[in-house]
Amino acid sequence: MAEHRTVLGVCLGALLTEAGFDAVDNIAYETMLEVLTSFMISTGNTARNYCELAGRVQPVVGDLVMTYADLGIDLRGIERYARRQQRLVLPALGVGSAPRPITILQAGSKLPHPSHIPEHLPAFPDPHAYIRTPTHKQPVTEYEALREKAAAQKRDIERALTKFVAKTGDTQSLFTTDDVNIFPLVACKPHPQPFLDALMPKDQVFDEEDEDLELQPPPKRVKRGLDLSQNTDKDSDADDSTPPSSPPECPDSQSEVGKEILQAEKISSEDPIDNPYLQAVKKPHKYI
Amino acid sequence: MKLESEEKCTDGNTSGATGGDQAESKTAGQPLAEFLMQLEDYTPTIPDAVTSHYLTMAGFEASDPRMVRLVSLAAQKFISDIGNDALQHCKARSSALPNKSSKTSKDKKYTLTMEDLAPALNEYGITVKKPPYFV
Repeated sequence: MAEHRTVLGVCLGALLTEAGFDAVDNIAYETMLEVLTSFMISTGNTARNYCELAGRVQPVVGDLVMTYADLGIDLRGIERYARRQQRLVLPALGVGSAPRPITILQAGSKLPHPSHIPEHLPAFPDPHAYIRTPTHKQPVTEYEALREKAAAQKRDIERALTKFVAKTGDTQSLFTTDDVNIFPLVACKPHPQPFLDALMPKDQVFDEEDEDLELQPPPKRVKRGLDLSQNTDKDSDADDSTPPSSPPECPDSQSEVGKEILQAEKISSEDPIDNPYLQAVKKPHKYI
Repeated sequence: MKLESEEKCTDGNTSGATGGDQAESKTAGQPLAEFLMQLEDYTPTIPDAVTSHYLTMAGFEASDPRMVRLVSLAAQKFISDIGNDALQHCKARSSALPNKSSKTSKDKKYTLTMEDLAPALNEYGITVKKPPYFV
């Protein structure tokens, strides 16, 4: 509805420009637009009335003549007006096409209407809007397949894990040949006191590393006591804080105690703190 | 035949007009009827679609496109006449004010304002009273 008014406004502007005006007030413009609209509507109304009065349905020129006479509009100079020189003819208004829905984001072709839907109804949207394809396979729900899958997974996990440990950790071999990789077995770590596990049941299994660390200091202290008892006759300048000095003083001991001392030595040699900032303060030698 | 009968009716309807006008209005139908024939290839400024829309709104079923063009032409002439009258008012107003600042004697840019339009419309029987501002 507003489009006709807009076009009429454009025509009004052309007519006023023809008359010689360069600008128009907004109020004056609106007033003239109302005048023009009302002119045409009252012409149509009155002409229709005259036409129906004459018992016709379709208006004739005479009806228009009567109308203008009735409305008091003088059309004597209309021919001369029609042939005026400086008449403006606005460019022909083309029928604007309805704005197409933006097809930039179109994905896929739209499906046609099924037979029971008339054609004048709007088309289907893009198929991705309502057709759903699952992005993953539906999970298997059969009991047999699931059991088989679970069992296979468990076996694969065990195999992979043992292979990994065998390749990265200690291994023992069942065969006398040197080729360890035929059938590597994960080496078992002998527990120094295997009966402890049986005597002290645990409900939580902590990290194995923590357990080893806990068990190592006691053997060291025990052996040091044995060392001191052996070396009471010898002069020992070694301080108590440097245990590594004691083992070299008993090189003869080939017994298990000695081995354990060596083991303890290895362990205790790792004990001194590597970090220089954490070591005990050493008094500097006297400057000479 | 029908035209003649309508011309007779015209006599009766234009009772308000002067005697001279009556004589002319008797034959007002014929020139228009002839003019209608010439409208075949003439395109008025107001497009046919717009005019026919307003006529249809009023109930005027225009079967002949020439009738539509006649209506639009009449409307154009009407508006042009009002515009010309308003322009004369404007020129009279601007010539009445001796303005030395304007380079030419007449103001080159004419703006249609309500001051000029109101008296022009009054001559055509349309009384317009608009408030100068919106409250």
